[in-house]
Amino acid sequence: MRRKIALMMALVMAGMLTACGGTKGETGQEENRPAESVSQEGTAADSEETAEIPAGETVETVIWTDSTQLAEGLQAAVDLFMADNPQYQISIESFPGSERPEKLALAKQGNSLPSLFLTAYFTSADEIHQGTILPLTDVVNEFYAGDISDSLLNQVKIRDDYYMIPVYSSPQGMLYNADIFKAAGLEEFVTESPEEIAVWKLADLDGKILPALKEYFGNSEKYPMALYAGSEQNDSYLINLLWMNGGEVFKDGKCVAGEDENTIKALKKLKEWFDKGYTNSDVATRVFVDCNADFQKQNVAISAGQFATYNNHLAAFEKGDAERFDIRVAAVPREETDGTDSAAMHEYVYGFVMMNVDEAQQRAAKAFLGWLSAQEDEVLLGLSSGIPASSRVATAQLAENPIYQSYMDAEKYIRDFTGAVPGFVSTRAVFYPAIQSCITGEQDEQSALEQYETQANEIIKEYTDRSLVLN
Amino acid sequence: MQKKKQKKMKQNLTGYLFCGPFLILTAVFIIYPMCKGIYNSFFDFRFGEISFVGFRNYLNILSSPLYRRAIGNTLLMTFIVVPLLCVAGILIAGSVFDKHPVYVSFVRITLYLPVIASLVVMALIWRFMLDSQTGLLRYFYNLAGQQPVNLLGEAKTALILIIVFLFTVNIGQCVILYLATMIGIPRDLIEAMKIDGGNRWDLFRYILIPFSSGVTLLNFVTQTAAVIRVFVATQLLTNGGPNHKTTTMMYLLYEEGFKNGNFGPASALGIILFLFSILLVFAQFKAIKKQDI
Amino acid sequence: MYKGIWRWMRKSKGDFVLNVIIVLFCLLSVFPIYWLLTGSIKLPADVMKIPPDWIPVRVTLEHYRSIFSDNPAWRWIYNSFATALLGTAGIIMVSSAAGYGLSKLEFTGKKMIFAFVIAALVLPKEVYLLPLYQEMISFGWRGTFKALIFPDLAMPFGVFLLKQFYDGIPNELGEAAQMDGCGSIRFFFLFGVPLSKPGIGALGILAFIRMWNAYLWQYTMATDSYTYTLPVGIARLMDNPDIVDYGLKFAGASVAAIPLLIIFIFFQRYFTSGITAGAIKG
Repeated sequence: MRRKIALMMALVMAGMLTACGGTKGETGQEENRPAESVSQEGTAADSEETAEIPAGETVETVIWTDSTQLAEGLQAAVDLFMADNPQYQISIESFPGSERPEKLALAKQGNSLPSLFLTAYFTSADEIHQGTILPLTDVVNEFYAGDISDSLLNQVKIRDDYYMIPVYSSPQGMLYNADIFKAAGLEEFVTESPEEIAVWKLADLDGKILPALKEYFGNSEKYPMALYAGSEQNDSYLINLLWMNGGEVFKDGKCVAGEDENTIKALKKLKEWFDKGYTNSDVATRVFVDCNADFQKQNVAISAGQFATYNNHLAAFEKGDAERFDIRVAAVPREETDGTDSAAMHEYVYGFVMMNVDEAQQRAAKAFLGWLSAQEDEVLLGLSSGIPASSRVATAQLAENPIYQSYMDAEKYIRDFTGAVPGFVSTRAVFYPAIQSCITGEQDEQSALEQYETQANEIIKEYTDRSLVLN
Repeated sequence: MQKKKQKKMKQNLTGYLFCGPFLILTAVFIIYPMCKGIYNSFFDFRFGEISFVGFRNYLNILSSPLYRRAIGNTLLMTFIVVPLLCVAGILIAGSVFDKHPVYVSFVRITLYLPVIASLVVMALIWRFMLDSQTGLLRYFYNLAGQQPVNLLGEAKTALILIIVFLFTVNIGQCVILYLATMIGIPRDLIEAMKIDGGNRWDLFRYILIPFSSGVTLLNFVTQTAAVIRVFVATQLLTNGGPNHKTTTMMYLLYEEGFKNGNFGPASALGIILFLFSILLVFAQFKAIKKQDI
Repeated sequence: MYKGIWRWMRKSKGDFVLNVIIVLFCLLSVFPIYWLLTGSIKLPADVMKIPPDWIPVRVTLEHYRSIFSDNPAWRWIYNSFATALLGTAGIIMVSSAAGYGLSKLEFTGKKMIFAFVIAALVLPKEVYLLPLYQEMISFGWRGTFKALIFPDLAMPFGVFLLKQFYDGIPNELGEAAQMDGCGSIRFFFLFGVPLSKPGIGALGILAFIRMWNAYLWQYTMATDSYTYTLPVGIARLMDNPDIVDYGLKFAGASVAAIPLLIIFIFFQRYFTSGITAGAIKG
């Protein structure tokens, strides 16, 4: 008995020792793996280096992306870069957007930030104020100023500095199922050509489209329009909806949702649609990804979507994951205060931001960005899930992607949903609960928006007071 | 005299030798980080600098209605679910343990499955099923001829559902331990009771409950620890909503700490959570000790 | 058999009714798992259909295939097994020793240590997660197996559980041995460990399940998808907003649960064979 136990313990000890052997453990020494993150070794080594990179020394760094679809293109670009510049060793980490806050928080505290992050600008804006993201003005001026439009560049500018190299923009509006529209007798609202972006009047949406869809669906589990407030996922669409009656959510650097009567009117309209059954019945707990799934399964006729979402659905049709239907883009209607009919959309600017890492890694990052500007269209396209920021690439792609033209024509409808307020990302946490309280009937529309406004302005004030770039 | 002292020293040495590995591991991987956590709770970690804020984090928490609600919800769930678990655990195990072994295995496996499937998986399935637009819930409402109501979206019903959920995913753990103890009770005692004409109720009173007191304590303590840190359930079922009505302490800790990078208040909240847990647990110890005598 | 049930029903109605309720509750408890497994083999369009297919009509294994082909899922399973096995072995060793010490040995500060064990038991990891994470980085352990195993080796629950079991073993045995000149350490290996085998069996299973399902810590420590354990890898799939196919998500959840399920069913007999039988007899 004793021998058996001793033997067992010895085996276990041996097992643990092998696990301990080698600083990297078993978690990956095989050659055919994708590059592993070696940020630890990289940071430690680099802090000893001086500003100049002596010939023969390597700099190791990491690039993150929170768009899993771009991981492949990013890896390809990085491989090309490393082939030309072997003194830089770059590895990639890609993860879904939902994990970004945690990863960032941990990396900040653990000193394991990447040097570059390919992500949406608005989700990083708060980090700029916290000093986690550094300006890239010199890179922009040297390599990109001629190729990227000023309107795009201005979106990534705070005071006099640019904080991102835009790679693509992805406008978001409504996506609708033209087949269902036609079956419900709404042919007049379907556009002539599939790539055209539909612009409806608010009165039509309210008075004709939604009621017709509701009647068409009857009592089944299908519903006319998707509305979600379960979490902060894709809440920019909600803000877009609040613009429907000509109101504003942010103005002059502050939140005004609770005092703008047109914004309140818009929320009242949304609640009305909810009560009439024009939307799903579980707005308070449904999140965007569920509505998106419903849209793909044709359970809902109108949903939200950016350019990438649209493409994902098309890809799903190709793969056979879902039955194909006529999917089209529409702008969100907006009735201006003077009664004219207009539309509103918003867009995300995606690109590279540079994080607060040591000098050597910054150099590597800037070298990569500079190199990127001179690359072939394919490389830049591999990094894009939307409309390329580089006008050179975009115009070259027009012929193959006629929908680019529609989106570019719709530029005039685009408004900034962040209001460029410092701390916008943090205000997202208080936005959707306020909407929930209105939908569940806990508060009326005005007090719900007032709750949002008060809490949001508290956050904005703290960010403005303590921002490292505004002070 | 010398010999006694030597003996005492040898005893102490042996005792610490046995507890040694555990103590060392705890010191390195729990105590040290924990102390750092306490230290962290007095700072603010944002905006590029780590600034000392004293007790402000704690004061903000205790005075904020949101945090108070979270504390309230957490304690409510703990006070309801934990006793329910132990009572139901004894009832179930006591009614089942002496029956056909296949039946016993059936009960054991089916009740423990949720534990194996892990909280995350169970919460996700429940959410799909309780979806009032496209889930099973809608199907049942249709059968009853009614319009579906979003049960997870209304504060009161959501709380009840979360409590039911917590109960179903934790009952397996209790039952399994109770079953193990009860099966080990010497057969003759049980036979004797049956011969004396006792029914199941007497069985419970005089044999099963006293015999399981050790396991009861274990279950009470572990379930309190498990329920008081309820997070997955609230995050996946209701996201703390609607309008933060079902939020719990651990949920806010996670939000503040890992989503907002606000580690100061998060650590403070963690310390408060820990203090509550210790209070509850030691109260339970005192209660059981009294019973034993 | 039916006659037996009839008799049972007549003899003690209360007991019968209670057991019926218990059976119903068990079925209710199992139903979500059933729903999960059947959903994972349904076609994407059928997964959330209303009225639902209680028994799948059209089946496909495509979801499972794509999980394994699009992800290093085998690697994840290996990672899970390795960490859970090594971790469980370590936990058993550490907890046995400490549990025995707290139960059978006398030494100063024993009560305090036990109180300390209880306090550690209720301490949620999230409270010190960040400092622990920083500690792992300073050790250079990020992305290694060490980081996944060592912090969990000190499992207060394990110590508590085994202490309770050792408490059930009568002291006379130890005292007799001592009088015969058998030292504490020898006694532990000779008698203590074998007698508590059922307890160790129970702890082994519980510890294994806990280590396997420990999501938060594994996720924090993972550096890229090769270092994930199974629950983390699968949870990533479920979280991904680009993946709209619920059948795939159900299959993912099933893959995460099935290995553990098999192990449990295989080893669950350790819970039956009079787990405290040896202890109470004396």
